[in-house]
Amino acid sequence: MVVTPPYSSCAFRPGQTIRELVAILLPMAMKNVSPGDEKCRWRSRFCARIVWLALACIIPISASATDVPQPVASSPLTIDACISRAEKKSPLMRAAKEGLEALKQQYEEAWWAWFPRARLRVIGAVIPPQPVGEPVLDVVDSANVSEPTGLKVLQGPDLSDWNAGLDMQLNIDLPLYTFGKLAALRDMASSGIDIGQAAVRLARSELGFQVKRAWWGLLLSKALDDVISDGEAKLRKARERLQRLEEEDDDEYDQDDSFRLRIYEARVEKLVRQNAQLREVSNAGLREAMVLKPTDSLVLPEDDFEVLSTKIGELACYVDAASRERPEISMRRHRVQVNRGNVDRRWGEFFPDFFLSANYTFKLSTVDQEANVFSAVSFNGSGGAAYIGLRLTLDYGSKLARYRRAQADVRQSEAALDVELSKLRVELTQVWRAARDNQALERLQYRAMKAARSLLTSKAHLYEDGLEPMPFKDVLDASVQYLMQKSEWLKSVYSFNVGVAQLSRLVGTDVTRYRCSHDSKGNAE
Amino acid sequence: MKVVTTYLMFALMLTPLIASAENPDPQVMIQGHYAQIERVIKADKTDEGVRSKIVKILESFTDFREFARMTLKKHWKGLTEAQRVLFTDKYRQLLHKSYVRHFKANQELEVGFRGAPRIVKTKAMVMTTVKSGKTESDVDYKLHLKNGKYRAYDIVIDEVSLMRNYRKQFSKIMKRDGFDVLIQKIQKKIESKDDNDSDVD
Repeated sequence: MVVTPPYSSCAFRPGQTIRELVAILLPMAMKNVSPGDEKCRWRSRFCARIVWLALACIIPISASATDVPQPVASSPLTIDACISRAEKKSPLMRAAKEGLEALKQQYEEAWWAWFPRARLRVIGAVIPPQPVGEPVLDVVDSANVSEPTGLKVLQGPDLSDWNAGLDMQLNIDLPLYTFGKLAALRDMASSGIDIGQAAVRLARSELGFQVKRAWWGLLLSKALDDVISDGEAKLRKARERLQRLEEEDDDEYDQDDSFRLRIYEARVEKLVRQNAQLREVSNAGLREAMVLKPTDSLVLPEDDFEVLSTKIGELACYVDAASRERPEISMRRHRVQVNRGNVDRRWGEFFPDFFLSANYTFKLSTVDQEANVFSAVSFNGSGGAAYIGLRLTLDYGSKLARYRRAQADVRQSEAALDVELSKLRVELTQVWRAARDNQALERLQYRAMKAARSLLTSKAHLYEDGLEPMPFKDVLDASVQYLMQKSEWLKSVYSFNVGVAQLSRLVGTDVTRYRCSHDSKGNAE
Repeated sequence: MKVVTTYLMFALMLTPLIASAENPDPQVMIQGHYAQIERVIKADKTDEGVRSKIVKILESFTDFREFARMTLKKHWKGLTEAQRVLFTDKYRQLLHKSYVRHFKANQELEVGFRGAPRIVKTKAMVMTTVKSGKTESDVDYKLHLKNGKYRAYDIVIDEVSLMRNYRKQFSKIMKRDGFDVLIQKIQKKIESKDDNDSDVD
């Protein structure tokens, strides 16, 4: 890919430009000139300006050079490389990974709940002058005969002038015992991470399927191109031959051959259109999954389109594997765990939290405060305390409702898991059956293709080297039959390969690498 | 005693050589012929030159009399020795023409073997796959032991036996028109130009 720099008038190559300019211009600019040498001083200033101008010109070039979009690969890609790129670049995967990161932070947050929580409050204030009145007297009426009754003088601080004050409070709480509330929160957050990880596997699985389907589609299209061009060449030759025979009014000319040829041409044309559609859809699918720009090149290998060499095992084996490996099932299962944790948390809310608490207060101001027993407002001083506390809210009606709702959530998520498992069995049966049938059909189509090839060879041999005249239509029929059979076989290879990818997507693991273990139920490979 | 031991060792060393001479490997033989064909295709610049040399290679490993006998099968018994010799000669020329028409100068040829040769008593079958450009064909050689050497009596291309394909036509002509007409038709085919091109490959 060639990108012309926007500042082409500079005509310097990025990377070399700075070195070259510095090498040429800086010695001139930095040349040691005597203070009185006006000519040299002028030259120095001129060169310095040139250097700055050049640098200003270079920076956009360098920036544009680094922004040049590089082609994905000039060498042929592999299917694994495509999947790897899709996993790196796809927004689907990015969203799943960011979701997992958020859940991990939630776990961190739950974990920090075990540690002391400190609160610091600092207030600084400027106190304006207050009007000075008469001393405030209050009537003290005490029933206790040992205490005096009568008038009490309330002596306040001196606020007749501007003052400044600082009030600082520090509180520290440490949970001692919460009846399982914090442990439940931590367990819920831990299950949340499992859900996030399953979501990442789900995204990976989905991307893998999308890439494989598009990949096999492109390879099928390429293989069909060869079949089509072969067929078109044969039909073209047949058409030329028929035209020649017709022009020569040859006895061998049969007008039925012309009609037959038209039917075959229509069949090949249909194949051409279907193939063009397949190529475009697969190309768009692969580019979308790999997040490729329209300008990025996509070079596929020249390898033959081959059927996957794998054996489809027993259904029970895949049902077993899917119930363990499938991300959707895993997410449902962990959702049940989260809801169970919530039940524990709600149960814990019926009981109080015991905690260790400590506080410290410090007050400092410029207020002239007479420290005596009559003072009601304190502007200066410090003090603290530590205690074991108990916290309990008494809204038991709400608590009971929340607890029952959490229990209902567990039952609902368990039912949803059962639904997912049941749906999985149905879907898996369908896809597994299709994959097995496609495997058998692929073998069948291959044998049919070979037979069609043999028939063509036999007809062609007798037509070319036989002793008896043979109608051309026999060779033409065999030839078209072979081409159609070959395209059918290639399509069956595609169906099987995509079926295997679909099965892998459904099971949650690559079934071509999965081996069913021999278990007691007889779910053998 | 020393002399006896030396003779014994010499005899033991010779044994595998004798055995291999008695039972030649059919695959090695076919491999050798393909190597010769590949050399000819690369060395010769003209199609005609290539084909004339491949005819010689075909001659070196084919038992045309057996090929002819198997093709005519039940009709073979009714022929005189002179007719058999005549038929074998004409049939040889027809097979030359049929076999060598697929070879061209500078043609790319890739040969592979599909498993080990199947050997039953004096008969063997060597299964090969020949790839030329985008076309791939299975070419199998049916061989039998004759004078200590394997000789081909049929060539099977993509499961189509040359011998059986011709047998069907020859039998029809023999029944309908007789031996002389068959020879005439073969002669006519040998002399004809290759105007029938099915463009299979």
